[in-house]
Amino acid sequence: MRFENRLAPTGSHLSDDQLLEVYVLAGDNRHLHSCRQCTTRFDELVRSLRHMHEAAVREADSTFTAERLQDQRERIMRRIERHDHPAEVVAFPQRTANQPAVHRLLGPARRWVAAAAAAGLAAGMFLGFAMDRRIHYAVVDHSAPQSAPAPARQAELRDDQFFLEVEAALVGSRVREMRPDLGAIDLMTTPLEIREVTYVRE
Amino acid sequence: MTAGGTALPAPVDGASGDKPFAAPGSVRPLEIETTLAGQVQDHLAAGNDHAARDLFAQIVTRQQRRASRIAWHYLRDVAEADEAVQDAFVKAYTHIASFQRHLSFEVWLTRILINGCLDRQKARTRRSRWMLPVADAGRRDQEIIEHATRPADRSPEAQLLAREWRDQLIAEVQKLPDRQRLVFMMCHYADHSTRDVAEMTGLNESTVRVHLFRAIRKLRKAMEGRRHAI
Repeated sequence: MRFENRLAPTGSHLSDDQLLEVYVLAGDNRHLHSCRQCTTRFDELVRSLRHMHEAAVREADSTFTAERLQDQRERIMRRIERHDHPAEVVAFPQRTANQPAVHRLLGPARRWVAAAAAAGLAAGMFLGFAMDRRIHYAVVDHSAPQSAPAPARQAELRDDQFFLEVEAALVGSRVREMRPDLGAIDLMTTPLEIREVTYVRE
Repeated sequence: MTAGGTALPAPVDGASGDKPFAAPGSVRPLEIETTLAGQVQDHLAAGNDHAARDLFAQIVTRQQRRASRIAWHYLRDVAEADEAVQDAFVKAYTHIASFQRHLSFEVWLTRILINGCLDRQKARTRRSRWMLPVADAGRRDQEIIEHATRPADRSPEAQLLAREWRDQLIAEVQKLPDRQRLVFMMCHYADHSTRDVAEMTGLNESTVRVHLFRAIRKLRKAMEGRRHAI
């Protein structure tokens, strides 16, 4: 039995599902032509579905305004244009036939000059580094013991300093006696050889 | 045929006629978009890229609102829906050589768009599995819509009812099984006939009708007793 001719199980009216079937299948149910109550229910169904549709469309259209669609259209066309004209990859510059090479610009003599200059530069740099290293080591050797003296060693150094000062004072007095205006006295005394006293560290 | 030589009628914007969506089983006449797509193919084959782009721009103008509605109802996120629409058009242009002229361009484009939306949904699900939501973008979009759709002549109570009704409907549509939701949205929001949807989804037309029937029945049941406040 075709559904159009089926009647609702409740009796002489179509059920909601049957009304929906009429709507979805676009069927023509004979009962709808004769029953006012079912026609009213069917109209209500159509109205409610239309209402759903309108609400959905209104919501979507308020989201995608004319400006947004215009912007969207422009972006689509830009992307399509980029697709048609992809960005060019710039090739690595190659020497063209009419462009002379660098070694052609420099003649044989000029090349010798350039080579000599480069060798001189290299030799100068080598010597510079060598000198610098020697100076550097000398400085390091001289300053190394002072860098971190131990406490016991510090006391010893203070003593050494004291003795050095005493000795310097003694030598200083002798030197004062050797002044030219005291030369006569000097002559009368035994010549004294003055030696510089240096302190030799253990 | 030249790019500028075709006088085009205004794009169809929304449903027309007695029913909210195209009559099930109705045969869609060959659309202008399909003709334009054929011309785009010809121009591209002749190496006339500029003319092809001009014609394709007309297709975009005619189809973008419908495509945006579909993407919006699928993704519920303005930025993502916007990107999905852009991707669909660009993909359609780049693969237009594979378009068959005897088929509907609109159906072909919609199929590309739905596939893109489904991919995005999957990606979103994957992301949500691993990441915490940074911001509730959906709610932000919703507020924008609320602001934009609020008619000035409606009372605050009516606005609130309308909002509740719409929220409820959206929630119920989201609760539908995947196939029912797809069929309902394509028929109901995008005005496609069940035959078109069958072509897009690869389902049998009678299966599409069954899905549509079940979807509407569920929605009606869920929305029963709620006042239409719009």
